[in-house]
Amino acid sequence: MSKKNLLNKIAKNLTKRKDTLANEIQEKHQEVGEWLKDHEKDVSSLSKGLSETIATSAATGILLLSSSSLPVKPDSFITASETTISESATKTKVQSTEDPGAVIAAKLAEILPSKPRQLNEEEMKKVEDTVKESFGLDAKGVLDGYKLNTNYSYMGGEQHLVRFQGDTLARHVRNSSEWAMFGPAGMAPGRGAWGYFPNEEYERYYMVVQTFLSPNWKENPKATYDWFKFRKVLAINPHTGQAVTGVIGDAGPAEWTGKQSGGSPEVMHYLGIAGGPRKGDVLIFFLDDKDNKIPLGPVTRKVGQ
Amino acid sequence: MDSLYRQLADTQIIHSHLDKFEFEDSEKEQILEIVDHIFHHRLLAVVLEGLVEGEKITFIELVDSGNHLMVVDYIKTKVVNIEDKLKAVVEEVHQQVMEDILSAAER
Repeated sequence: MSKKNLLNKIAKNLTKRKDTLANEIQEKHQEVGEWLKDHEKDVSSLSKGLSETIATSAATGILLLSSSSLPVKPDSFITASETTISESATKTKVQSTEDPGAVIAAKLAEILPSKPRQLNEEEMKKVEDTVKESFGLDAKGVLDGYKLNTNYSYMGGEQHLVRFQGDTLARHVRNSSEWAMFGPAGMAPGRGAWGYFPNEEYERYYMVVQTFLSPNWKENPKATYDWFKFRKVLAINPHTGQAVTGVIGDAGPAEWTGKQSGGSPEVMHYLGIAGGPRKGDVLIFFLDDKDNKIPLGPVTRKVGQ
Repeated sequence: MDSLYRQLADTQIIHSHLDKFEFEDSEKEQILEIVDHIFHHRLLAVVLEGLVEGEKITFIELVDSGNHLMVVDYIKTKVVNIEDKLKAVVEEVHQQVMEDILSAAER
């Protein structure tokens, strides 16, 4: 047998084995086969990706060591918008080192009713003053003449929202710790009321309010729809003082749910209501931030612009 | 970086057999590339077999995302004794490849 024929025979044997394995994977794990078909990929690209992942992990000592989480944020997850926000955040000035959360919780206990309901003007003003004093933020119950149906609501946990075509749940988290915290919420198949978010940070800290029940809606639905789009808001858990800045990213929940607002998995986590029934009392106020200086995310210190 | 299979397996044995047939380096590389694919497939099969319904899609989405840390963390959490299984796959593929090479030469 010539060398060339022998080479072809060996290659043929091995290729047959390789193809048989690929077929077996698709037949035995049909959901994987369907996923590959839907994503126009093949077994080879998937298996090669896995192998490269393990090779990298083995080379760097990650594999075969303890399974502790490795909270490293890959560069690929850093977006331009995030950089801008971070730069903006560094310009803020820390004015106090006391825990504003504990302070604000004590003060809100004296202001708020025992159960969530729309606040009256006096209560709203007291909350605004308390937020300004504790966090240094200009929170408004009414801004530009627009208001929510209620500033004090039952907030329920929402799912991640699709940010672009082909988005996957795994892309919404930055490390295995986040996967454990924010992965179980899952990802809703649709987009929010205003379509795709313009950046990752908006989806990460999005909230849901009943725009359709806003008093402004009846007067001018189109203008109200536009005004609420990605409007920056502050949410506070009045029982703990935990607070998060975010944007309005979707309209809901339906009235029959008994909830009046919703929060992304990250928002729920930073408000301290991600556990158990994933529901809790939350204050939502608009942020007067025309210069877009307030970064999104958990608020843990008093800041000044 | 070498492929995972070439990092873990003693490919010198395969090389020495191929040397007997006086294959050029490029020809040996052609064969080893197919071996790499066989190993990739077997590794994927072993991990999938260790996952239950619902976890498989999550797993392949993680792989597709390219986040190495999360993929490995997920595998280590979900698949029992993954390191041992990995070594077993290396051994199994090595045996099968040698069979394929030798059987081709016998005909």
